[in-house]
Amino acid sequence: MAGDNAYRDRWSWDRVTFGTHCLNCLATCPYRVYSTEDGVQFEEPAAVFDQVNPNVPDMNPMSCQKGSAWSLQLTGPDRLTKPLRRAGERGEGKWEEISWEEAIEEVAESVVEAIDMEGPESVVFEETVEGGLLTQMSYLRFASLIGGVTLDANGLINDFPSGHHITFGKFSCASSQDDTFNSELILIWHSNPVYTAIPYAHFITEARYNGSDVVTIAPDYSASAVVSDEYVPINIGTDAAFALAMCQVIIEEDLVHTSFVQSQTDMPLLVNAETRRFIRGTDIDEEAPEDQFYWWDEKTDSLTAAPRETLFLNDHVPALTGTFDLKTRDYDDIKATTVYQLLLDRLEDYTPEKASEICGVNPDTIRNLARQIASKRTKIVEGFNTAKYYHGDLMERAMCLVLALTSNWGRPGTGIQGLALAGLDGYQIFGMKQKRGIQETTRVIDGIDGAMEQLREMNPDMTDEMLGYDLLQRGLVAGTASPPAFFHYYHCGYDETWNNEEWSDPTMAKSFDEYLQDSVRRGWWGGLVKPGPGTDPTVFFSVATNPIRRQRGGASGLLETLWPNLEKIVVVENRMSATALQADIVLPAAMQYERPNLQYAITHSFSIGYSEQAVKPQGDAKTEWEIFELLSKAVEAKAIEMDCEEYQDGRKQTRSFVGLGARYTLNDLYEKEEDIIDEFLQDSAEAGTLPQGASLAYMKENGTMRFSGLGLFAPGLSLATDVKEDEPVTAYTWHVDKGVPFPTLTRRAQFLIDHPWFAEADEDMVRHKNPPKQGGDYPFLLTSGHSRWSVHASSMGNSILAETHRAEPLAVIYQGDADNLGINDGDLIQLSNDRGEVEIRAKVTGRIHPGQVIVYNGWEPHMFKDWIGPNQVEPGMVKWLHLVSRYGHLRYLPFGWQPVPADRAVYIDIKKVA
Amino acid sequence: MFVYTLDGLEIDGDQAQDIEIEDNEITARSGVYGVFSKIFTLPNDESYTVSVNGAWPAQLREVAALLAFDTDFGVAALSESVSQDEYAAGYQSIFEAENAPAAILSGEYGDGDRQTRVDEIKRIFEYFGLKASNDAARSPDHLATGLEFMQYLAFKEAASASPRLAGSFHRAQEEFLERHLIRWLPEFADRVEAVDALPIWVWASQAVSAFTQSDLDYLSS
Repeated sequence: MAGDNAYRDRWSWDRVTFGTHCLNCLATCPYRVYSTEDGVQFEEPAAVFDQVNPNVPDMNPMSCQKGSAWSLQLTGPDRLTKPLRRAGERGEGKWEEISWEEAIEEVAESVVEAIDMEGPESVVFEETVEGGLLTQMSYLRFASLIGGVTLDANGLINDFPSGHHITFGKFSCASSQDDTFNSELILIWHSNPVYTAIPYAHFITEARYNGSDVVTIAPDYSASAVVSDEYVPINIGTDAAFALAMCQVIIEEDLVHTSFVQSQTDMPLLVNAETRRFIRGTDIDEEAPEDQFYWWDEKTDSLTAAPRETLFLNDHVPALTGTFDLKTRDYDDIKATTVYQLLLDRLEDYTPEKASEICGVNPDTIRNLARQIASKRTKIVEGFNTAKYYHGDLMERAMCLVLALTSNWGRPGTGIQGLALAGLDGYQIFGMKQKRGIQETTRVIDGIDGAMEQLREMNPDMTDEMLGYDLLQRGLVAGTASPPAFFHYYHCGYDETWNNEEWSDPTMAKSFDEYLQDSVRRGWWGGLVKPGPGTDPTVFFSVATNPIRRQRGGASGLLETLWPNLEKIVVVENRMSATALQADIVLPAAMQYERPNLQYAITHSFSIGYSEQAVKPQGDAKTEWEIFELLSKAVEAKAIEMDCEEYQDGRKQTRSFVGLGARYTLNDLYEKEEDIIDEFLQDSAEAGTLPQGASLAYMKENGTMRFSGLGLFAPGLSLATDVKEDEPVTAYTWHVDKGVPFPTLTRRAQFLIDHPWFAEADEDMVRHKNPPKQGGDYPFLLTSGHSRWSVHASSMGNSILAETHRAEPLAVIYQGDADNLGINDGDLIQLSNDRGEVEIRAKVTGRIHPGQVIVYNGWEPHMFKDWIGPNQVEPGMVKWLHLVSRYGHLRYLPFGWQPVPADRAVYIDIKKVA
Repeated sequence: MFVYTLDGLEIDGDQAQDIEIEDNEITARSGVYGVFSKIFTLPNDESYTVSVNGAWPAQLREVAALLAFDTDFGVAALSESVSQDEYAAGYQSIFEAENAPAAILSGEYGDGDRQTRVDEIKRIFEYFGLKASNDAARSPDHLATGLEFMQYLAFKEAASASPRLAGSFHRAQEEFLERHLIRWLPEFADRVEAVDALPIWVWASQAVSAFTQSDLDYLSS
């Protein structure tokens, strides 16, 4: 029958390849992609992961509905297939198709003119974690070669858990996702993995079947709460109070794991009882280093230098409490106490009864959960939600404190299950190579080893991780990366917003501007503030990212302030995004399945995500590697034509346009992107992060490969654990089992930050603070979160996925609030505050917290009236304390410590639109 | 003093090194691969003479003197009744002709597209500082080229001053044997025997198959 054939034809194919989706879910789900000469027909999860351990469930099948419907987007209505030039005003929606030659020449001319007139730091790139490594490498390589500026992605998207960094000196203590199965108690806290981590959420339910208890702590009864044993409703933004109350119970009921606290944390370190400053080496001994810290050894009843090279206590018995008389170089008699003692003082404010008044959780619930945590291997499953709260750092510091008191890191099933980078070292090595091949790789690796050895000789008690961060720091000023807060402040109109005292933390003693100028004047961000206030941004590149949708502060910040000053806005994208709609030139990029790529290397599956080219790109789309190769050559040619071959970069070094094209491709050494991927993989094997035999051919046959080591560089080493073939990866075992110090100022998990600004804010020791009134004094609190049906905006145009939800923007509001306001489900409502207003449909539910409004992340502004999205009401306030730098571990690291904008807990009003 | 020669491969100009090193167990392995590579190259005046004289096993034994593992290269000679033209024609019909019964190209073995395998092998050559010579008539997946590559890797292992680089070349040999040569050489030897080839080819194919397996065991240990 004809119908039978039609059905069979629908599921027929000529070729099967491996694919994954290099999106900002950062998953590495291996798919099989079935294609014919007519294009991709369909995809399905490949389930090719080996079982790591017979007693732990495997990763298969890693997938979600977005990935399984991805191929529809290759030919979706918003797909970009031709270079476009704006034919009307910016954002007017009028375009003309142009050739690649025209497009590239126009962009090249703008770049050369900008560099000639304003210098290369006037050419600004938004960094992204979307698009995979080949996408990132292409624009970063071009930006680096011309001396441009790349705005640190994490300062833009704010996936930076600053409280983890304050505590541990590094990004996160994320293990591989299967380690969750080893937990006895899982706290889903500030996350909703059933929505946002679909490929891994099964580990939580499997752990539950295995006897673990699962508790969800959230203002809303989320989809993850449904699969939990207990749900703890909590007032929005009060998690620090809740956590500190649990700490109070753990201490009060003598449940503290004392030796863990003594060895792993700064709790026994001595501080001046009056100034709350650590007793430092220079206070005691002229010869001692500044970062030598002390404790009181109860065994010898004497002041003792805390070991710098190990966390092991050896024969010491450091006092956790008490007051001690000390003689310092400057004073004969000062009173010293311990960090732990300061904590005890602090916790007096956080008895369960007192905290309950803040967080709304019953004191008995607090006590019961605290007792459970103290007796079980506990893991906090946390996303990047806390990171987006103004005082998210306090919440995270308090969470870390709960884990510290109960020895809950560095053992299987413990820690914080967020996300951390794994080491695909071949990627980093590639950028340092001048030639192709093993000999050059070895030269680079030997060079890194040599540099590390030199540093080690100068600092014999520093760990490889610390040395790695030092090495990274040394390269920063010569690099392109810049924390974007300064760019936003000087060039995007955020000075007015961030100086709004009413939206800021009321404990600030000075204006935001005074703090910012002070931090710059002190040189804390020296060489990183670029383009500085004296350089006009001129050309703006947005590659595989979407700032107009995402930027906190909405369209106002960029469109009204930055945009008018830009000569050229270039968007490299595969679909017509909100940012592409506002561009001058749009360059169509190849999509997943149309190009070879590697996903970012992260801890979730602890495996490589590889995507093979299955079909040719739609229309005239090209890969970013090809686009920036064309642009490199065109910029060189245009500069020669315009007779401006040389220029000075931001460091006053002379650069030449001549040879730019050849430098980009290393003299055409890499004919195809597959050659580059192969080089990444083989070099990673050389560096020890992938097993021997890692190659493109292997990936084509197998689709995935598990990492075998942490590699040479600090981000990988930050996991601080031995990678074993037959065990899930548990972060931080080196700290616990081997006594390897943390990369913090005190070399311990640090809970006292004795920086004067932190002291001034009364945040030197962790505490709770209410979310500041960002947006104004209004009755509702807008939160956000990732939706179930898209990865940011990437699947919003997918026709099949659109059938799984209402396919239009919606705000989830509480039934009782809706009743009071006369709002029915589906009504058009207005969300407004002093920052702006947005119209959106109401989805009325009883499952969220009274006073809470959720607008899930990802709707494009052009899906709203007047193209104004919900980010318009988000001021994107930056916490001033994050301007602190050059204090031990509080110093800029790419993707790490820096001021970042907040967008959760924004105060708004709601009304029904007539 | 040990030196190596390349025929089907060229060294990337930037990485060319002209080093002579003392004989040792690693150069012995390199030497064996070099001789095997010559055996499986399209016969010429010199190789015909060596074959007729039955000198291949002796050459192998000579270069293998310092090998760290035992191996028996046996005895083999080409009958004088076989002319050089017949010898070359037989080589081509058995190994290199279209649909040759015992194809000498690794891409002809196993599932999948041959060009994909050729591309993979070229990438490996390039990563290790070589490229398939444009002047050579041999494909990158030709057995003689693969053996020549093993000869080169072993030499580089012996000649590397950097322990890291030596380790890399060592692992590369292990990998290339495991992933490429050993994957198809046993079948190749079976096919040669099955097609009633000249005894010298049966001997050579079995000898190279046995040696590569022994060498992999040695490298893995």
